[in-house]
Amino acid sequence: MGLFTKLTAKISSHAHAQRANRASKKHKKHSHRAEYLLSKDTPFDVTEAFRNLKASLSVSVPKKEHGVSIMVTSAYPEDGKTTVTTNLALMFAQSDAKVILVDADIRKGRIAKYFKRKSSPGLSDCLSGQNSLDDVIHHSHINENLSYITCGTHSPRPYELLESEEMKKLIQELCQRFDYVIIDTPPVLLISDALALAPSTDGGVLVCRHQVSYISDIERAINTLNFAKVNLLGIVVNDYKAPKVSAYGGYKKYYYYNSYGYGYGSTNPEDTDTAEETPATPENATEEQN
Amino acid sequence: MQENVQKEEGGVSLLEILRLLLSKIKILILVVLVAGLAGGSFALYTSWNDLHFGTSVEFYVNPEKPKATNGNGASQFGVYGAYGRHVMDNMVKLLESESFTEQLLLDGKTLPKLKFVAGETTPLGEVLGSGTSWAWVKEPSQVERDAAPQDKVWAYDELENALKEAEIARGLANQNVGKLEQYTLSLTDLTKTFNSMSLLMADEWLALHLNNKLANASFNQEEYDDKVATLTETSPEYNDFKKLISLYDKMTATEAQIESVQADIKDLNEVFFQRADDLEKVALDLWRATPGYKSVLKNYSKAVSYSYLETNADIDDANNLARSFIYVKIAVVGEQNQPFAEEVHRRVKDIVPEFVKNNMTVPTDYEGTNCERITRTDEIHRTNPNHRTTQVIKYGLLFGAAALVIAAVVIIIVDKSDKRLRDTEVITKKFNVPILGIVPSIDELNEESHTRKVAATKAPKNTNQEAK
Repeated sequence: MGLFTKLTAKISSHAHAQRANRASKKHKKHSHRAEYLLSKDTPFDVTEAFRNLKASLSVSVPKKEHGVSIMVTSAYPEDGKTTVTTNLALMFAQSDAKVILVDADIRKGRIAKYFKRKSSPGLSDCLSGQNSLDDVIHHSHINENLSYITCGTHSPRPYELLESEEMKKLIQELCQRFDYVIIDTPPVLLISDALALAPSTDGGVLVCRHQVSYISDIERAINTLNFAKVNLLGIVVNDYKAPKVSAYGGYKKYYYYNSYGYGYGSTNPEDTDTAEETPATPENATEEQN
Repeated sequence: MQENVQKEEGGVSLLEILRLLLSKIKILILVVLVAGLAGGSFALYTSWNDLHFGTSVEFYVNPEKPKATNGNGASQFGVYGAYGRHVMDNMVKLLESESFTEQLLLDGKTLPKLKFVAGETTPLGEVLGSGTSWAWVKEPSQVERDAAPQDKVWAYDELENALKEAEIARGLANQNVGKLEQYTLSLTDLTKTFNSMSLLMADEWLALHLNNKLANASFNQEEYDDKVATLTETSPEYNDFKKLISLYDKMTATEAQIESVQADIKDLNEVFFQRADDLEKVALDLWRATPGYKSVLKNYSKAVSYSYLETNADIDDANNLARSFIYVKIAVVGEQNQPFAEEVHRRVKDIVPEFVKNNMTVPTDYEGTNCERITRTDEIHRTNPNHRTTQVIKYGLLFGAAALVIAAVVIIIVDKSDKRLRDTEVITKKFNVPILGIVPSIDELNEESHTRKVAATKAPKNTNQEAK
């Protein structure tokens, strides 16, 4: 058994090292990734998952008089952090809460692409004093409750900007104006920018990707966040693929929504007659509000 | 403040392993099928020429005694008792010995008629080509000759010379034998003619005396000469006598020739035939020293095996055909060796009975040994008709099982090496951190949705057709 453990550990560490190496290289290059926003075409399971996530966060975040700031990070890039952050903000906005989505990944922020906008002027421009806060806040066309701040012009000192007093004041100002401040931060194991926001936020969420993120990386990320005194609210597992055979047991509970999907507003054309309500997608919400 | 992450060591559960293997059942089945196919192909390839040919020949042996016995109960067939185990053991050992195997190789002859043949031969072909008692020896090529040690080359050359001399000696001997036959025939004809004429001759006295003279019997020369002197050309017996005398002279000459040839033959017997025998012995010794000899002998040894069965017998029971059995099994591999097996089979049937009779240890109060072949349907046949099929199945299963085990081990190792997040419960158990949400794979769901849509668009067409 000792030999078996050594063998498996050796293979695992080799694969892990390769992934870390690829991750660091990709973060330097411009990587082409798709931007996914919830829509009426989104599968019911996905919409419901984000709805549950929103509900879980609403309960777990500490109650305050003013708005709540939540930072979202991941261990390595391409874990789906920005997608989760953006759609989470969208979900909050659907429940009539005023939400602002802040792209704190000054080095490689991608939130601007989700809203088909240029990244500047943005957060870095505001923090460096070149633009005011109102200049960088943009209102989303998807939902009027949702606003966003892009990452801004590339800066050579992103950590210092995020750690500065201006950033703290900015977050406080945003908490005054909005119910939820959702902050998308860089991967915590790659660069330390996210840790600069730890004292300024009310809680943190770690995003990991199913069958991609390594347990050891998640462990290190949690330890890093704990060391930085981040109030870690929980973990979001992204891109979950249900196993064909229940080899690890108990996953069906996360997928029982499939059986409910057709009865509670499925997008399946066969069930349109029996649906009691359509899923609350951003387009629908916008139409209803209009 | 969050608690520090606690580490836990994972274990290997049998149930987990079974579930894991079940989840990869398609891969395992594919691997087993491919390996089984590979194994079957391998078996087919290796066993394609692995055809076994052979047969079994049974001989019964028992001591013989004449019917006139000392009153100890003779069977009506003249057979008594059976041989003991130790006697049969010795007999089988003799049959398995190199000397008897050589007899098989020489087809029962004491000396081989050797012939030197140029060209390539296989060890088995050295006997195959004969069909008789010839043994073929491979002539070394010039390259082999140059590369071989000098004494080895000498041996081949000596063998070649010895064989050639033996051929010449035999040829000369045969020539004289031919001549002798010719003269003997001639003499026989002359004698017949002489006898016929003698009977027709008027003067019986002269005919009788000539016969006596011819036969070197008692003969009065003076009386004969006086009688001959009385004959004149006008005598009526004169012409017959002259003819008879002419025949007499010819016969005498022929007898002289015959004597001469016989003397030559005697010389040849003493010189050339003996010389031929000596040379052939030399050739035989040289042949035994050649590498081919050992391999051919080995092939014969491998092809034939002997065993025995001793039945319990009451020696004094006159009506009990008590006997022992000698079993000879012939087995060769390869279709190309089937003629060889048939040749060995023939030699075994011809040589074994005589050998057993001559070499069996006979008890003192018995006269000899009887050895008779009792199998009558013992042709050389294929002894492993289903060999290919069994080999294919055997190797197919073997390869499949091995591949299954290896694949299972590899799957388990790969799975256990995969330290990525697969079980979300690990997060809560190991890190004591809540899972806020699980977002399913959008691509996977879109694919399933697309598949359902395609199926749904096809279904209405089918139901409409059925309705019609």
